[in-house]
Amino acid sequence: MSMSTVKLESSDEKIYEVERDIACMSVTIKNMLEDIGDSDAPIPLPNVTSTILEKVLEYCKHHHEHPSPQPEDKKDEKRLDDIPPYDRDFCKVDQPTLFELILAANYLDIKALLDVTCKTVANMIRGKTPEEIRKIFNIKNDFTPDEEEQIRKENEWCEDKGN
Amino acid sequence: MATKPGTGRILLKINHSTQDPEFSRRTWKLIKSAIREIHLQNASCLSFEELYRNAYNMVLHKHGEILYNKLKKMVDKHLKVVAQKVSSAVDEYFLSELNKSWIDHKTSMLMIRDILMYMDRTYVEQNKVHSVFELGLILFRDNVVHAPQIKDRLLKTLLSLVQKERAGEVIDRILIKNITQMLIDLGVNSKNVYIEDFEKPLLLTTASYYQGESQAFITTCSCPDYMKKVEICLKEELERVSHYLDNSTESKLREVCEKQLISNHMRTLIDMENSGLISMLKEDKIEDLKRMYNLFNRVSDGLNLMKEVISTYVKEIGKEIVMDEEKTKEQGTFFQSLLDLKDKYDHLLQFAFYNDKQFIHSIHQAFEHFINLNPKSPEYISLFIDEKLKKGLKGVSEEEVDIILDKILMLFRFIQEKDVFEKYYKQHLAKRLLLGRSVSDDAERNMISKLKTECGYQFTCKLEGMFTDMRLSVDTMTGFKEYIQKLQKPLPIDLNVHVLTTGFWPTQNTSNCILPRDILLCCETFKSYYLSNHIGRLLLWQTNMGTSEVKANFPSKTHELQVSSYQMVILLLFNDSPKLTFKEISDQTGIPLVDLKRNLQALINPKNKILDRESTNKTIEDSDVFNFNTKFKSKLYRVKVMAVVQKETPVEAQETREKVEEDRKHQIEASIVRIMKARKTMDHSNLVSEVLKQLQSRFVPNPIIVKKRIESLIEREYLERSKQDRKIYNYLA
Repeated sequence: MSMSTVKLESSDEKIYEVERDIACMSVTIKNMLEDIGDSDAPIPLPNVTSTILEKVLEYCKHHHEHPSPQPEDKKDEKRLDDIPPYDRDFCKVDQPTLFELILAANYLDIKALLDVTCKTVANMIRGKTPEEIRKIFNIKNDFTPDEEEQIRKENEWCEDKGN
Repeated sequence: MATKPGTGRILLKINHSTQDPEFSRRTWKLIKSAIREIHLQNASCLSFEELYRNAYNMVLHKHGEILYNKLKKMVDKHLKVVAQKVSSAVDEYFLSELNKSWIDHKTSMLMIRDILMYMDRTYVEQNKVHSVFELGLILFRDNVVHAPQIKDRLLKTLLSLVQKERAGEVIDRILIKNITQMLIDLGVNSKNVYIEDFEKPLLLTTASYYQGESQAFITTCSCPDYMKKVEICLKEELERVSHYLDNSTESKLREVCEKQLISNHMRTLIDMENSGLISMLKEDKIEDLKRMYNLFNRVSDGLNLMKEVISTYVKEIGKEIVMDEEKTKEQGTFFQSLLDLKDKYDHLLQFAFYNDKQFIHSIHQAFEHFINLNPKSPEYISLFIDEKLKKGLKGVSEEEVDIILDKILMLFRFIQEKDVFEKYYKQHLAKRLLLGRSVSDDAERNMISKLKTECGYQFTCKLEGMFTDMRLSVDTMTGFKEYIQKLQKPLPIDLNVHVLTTGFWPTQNTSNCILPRDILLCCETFKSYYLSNHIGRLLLWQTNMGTSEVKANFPSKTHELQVSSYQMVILLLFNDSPKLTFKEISDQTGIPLVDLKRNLQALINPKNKILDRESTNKTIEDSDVFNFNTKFKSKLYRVKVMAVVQKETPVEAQETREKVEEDRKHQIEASIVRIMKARKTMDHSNLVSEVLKQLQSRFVPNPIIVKKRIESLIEREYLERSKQDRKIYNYLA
């Protein structure tokens, strides 16, 4: 019965004891636990810092306690405006944290978290011109004017005609 | 340059990794050594998290393709070594070695898959390549199972094991099960590998095996023995499937076996002398017939073939009975044999053929076919019933009567000319009723009600009318007796009259005989009584149908003779003169010649010789002289003079036929008019088929006759031909 909780170790060597069910919301951790079998040793997660791991665990805990009705059944339709209130608040963080969360969610294979963080980024991009997007994400324009013209032509069909 | 340093850091990090050529090489080296450890079954020393993270980083940094290809190459190489090892195993351990390698490989691939989970999730999905585990299956298939030194050997080993088991040896079923399961797994979402590498060759060898076996069986075994063997073979093959083959093989394997063991030999089995289908039928081999039914039911056309043979056989047997001169003379045995035949096949249908609808139908058809072969069948049925109702049912319980009648009715159903039956039944019933020969009134009524449910109200309404007449006659007679008592003038003889409604009873040409005076007086008295109660009716005496009781004083003793009315009239003549010629009798009685001869024959019958004839010729001549036989002796007081039961003469049969034909004309016409009245217009062929359908329950009319009736109706302006199309008729109201 010692396995009702597991220990996770962040890259900065902080150890967190978490309920097994919550930890297993990460497919990666679930697989690791299956491979390792019964062991008390903390699972090292050198790809995740303690700050981010705490956020991730907070997210998992909340959703473990408040399971949302299976959103995956909504066919394959991808929507950007269906982020639940808790998740929206959860994603109101600075950009570096948001990106770290995306990387962690990807690494730990937590689909719900990956979806909601990516949607948040997508919402940031939506309706913006390339210039604006560059500004938001601090991206240097490395296209030559010719290249830029070429790309605009190729993507003309998908631009919003109403605007 | 960055306003938000954090953002820049991430981008920098990715850039840095992608550009590092050493990164992927270094990471792969780590993963490679881990996979090697896994292949050596040394996985416990590995850190799963570290490997996962390395693979994750590699894929994340766009080195997925390198990782995938390197993995493929590595597993490929490893499996070539495995194949070498498996192929070097001696025959005895070949399969188990292969099985072991397979299990090891599966375990390794599961571990590798877990390490490379992230690659499965992203790289594999995006590039639509095989997942890690599938890749493992494909590589194992191509490098091990399909290796030239293994593929054929594997198949041969498997087939020889199956063969060994068929020969009765015990084999390692679980091992084979594992190997077949491996072949199924190697198909990756399909069963192609299993089917191509094993199932198809298995089916081929099975076919040739059972081809040989069945040839050997069939030349040495009787039909039932062969079928028992087949049952065992089929059962064994089915077990084989459940033990170590895939379920999908079951139907295919069964089909192959059934084709070789059953389909290919059906005809031979059925025709097998002394043990084939016919002899099984002859000897009532219920179990064997059942077995044959079950086996033949498995293959297409099997039951059809069986059904045909049975039907032909039943037709033959039935024809023999129906056309057998000897048997047809004795209606009783004729019919009893038919009933027995019916019983036999009902029994077979129920216990051997599961009451298969098609079998029932074809056997019934066979019965219908042969019963109608003999045009006298309707008459015989009626005679058989007559016999049963006259004496056959004495002392039999009501339920048994019911059963017997039901059985008769079953055969009656096969008769096409039900109207002919009706004619005869009426005749026979009339005799039974008038001569009081019926054993049980209940049985009679039971029969009528059965006919009614079978053929409808119309069919029996006249028959029922006959019963009504009988009942009314009893009332009439009571009234008549009271009437006579009131008259105070007793009649010289007791008179009992049945008043029969014309039309209900079989009509006979009323050729009246000359009645003696006393009797005439009684008749007149009755007539005036009856007509006073029923005004406007016409009474005709049917002297040919009556019976009489006559007291005769012989020198030795007085006897009471039970005779027909005609005989009574003849005998009374001898009160006046002891000697009469045939001509004199005929003149004085006025009885039609045929009837007169018939009745005289009965009176000179050596058994009850009441009259003596002065001639020994076989036939009665005009000049024959008859005497009152004074030497008559009998132990009994009451002597019954049997009317010579004469079988229907050909002339009479012809007459009955003609009467039936005449009736049919009316029925056909009635049916045509009924149909046309409802439809108004109709074309020829539809009309004819409709008429046939309507009349089916009574007889099967000949279409040519139907056509004649239509023409006659056109002549009489009930119908007309359409002016546009000569084939269409219009109804004229």
